[in-house]
Amino acid sequence: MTEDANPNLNLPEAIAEPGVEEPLDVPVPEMSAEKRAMAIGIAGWAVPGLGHALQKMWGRAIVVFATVGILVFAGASMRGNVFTSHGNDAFDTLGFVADLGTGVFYFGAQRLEHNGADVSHAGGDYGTRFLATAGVLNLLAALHAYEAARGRKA
Amino acid sequence: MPTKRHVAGKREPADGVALNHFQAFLLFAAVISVAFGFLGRRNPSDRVKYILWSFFLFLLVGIGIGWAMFPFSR
Repeated sequence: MTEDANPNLNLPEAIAEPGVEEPLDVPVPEMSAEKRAMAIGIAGWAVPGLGHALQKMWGRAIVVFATVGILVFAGASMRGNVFTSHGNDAFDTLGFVADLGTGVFYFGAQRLEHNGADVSHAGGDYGTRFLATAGVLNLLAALHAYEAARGRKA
Repeated sequence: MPTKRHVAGKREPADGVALNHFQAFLLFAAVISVAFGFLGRRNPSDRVKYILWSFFLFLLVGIGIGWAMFPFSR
């Protein structure tokens, strides 16, 4: 038999030998677990509470969904400022990032505010803070879900 | 030019939810306390204690800061 005829010639020995455990399999589950945790974190950001729901943490999922939803609904109803990507300064950009933290609720807030923002009253100013807090709270919850998916005690 | 709403000083239904300062403060403190309690504790009794303690501290700090700023409000 020539070397060229051996089909396992260019493969690692562990793979070429039948019956031997493949050491290459060890890092694969770790990578998939990390990717899964990342996906859970992103899902938790996109839909508040979904990151915990995917891990069957139902109480936390409901509370995150409800608290972020209440803050967004109250903030938009009080005619708080929903920042867009077309900000004039760094504070507008920061506000946009914070508002975007609410995930899909960001678009719900825009739809709720059919009369536009009104920060000339204290209520509108409070509403702006409510919306930003909802976004930051959801980012915190998404990070919590990500850490829980990685196996950290949560 | 001020609108009728501004002259009258009343909110129309189109303004949606109209909370005063203290109501907004209470809503904020309650919602954040519940979220922190559920995210930060696993045991139900620990959660309740954490929520109540957090809510109390929100009230204490908020009213304290408001009270401290009162002399400079005029």
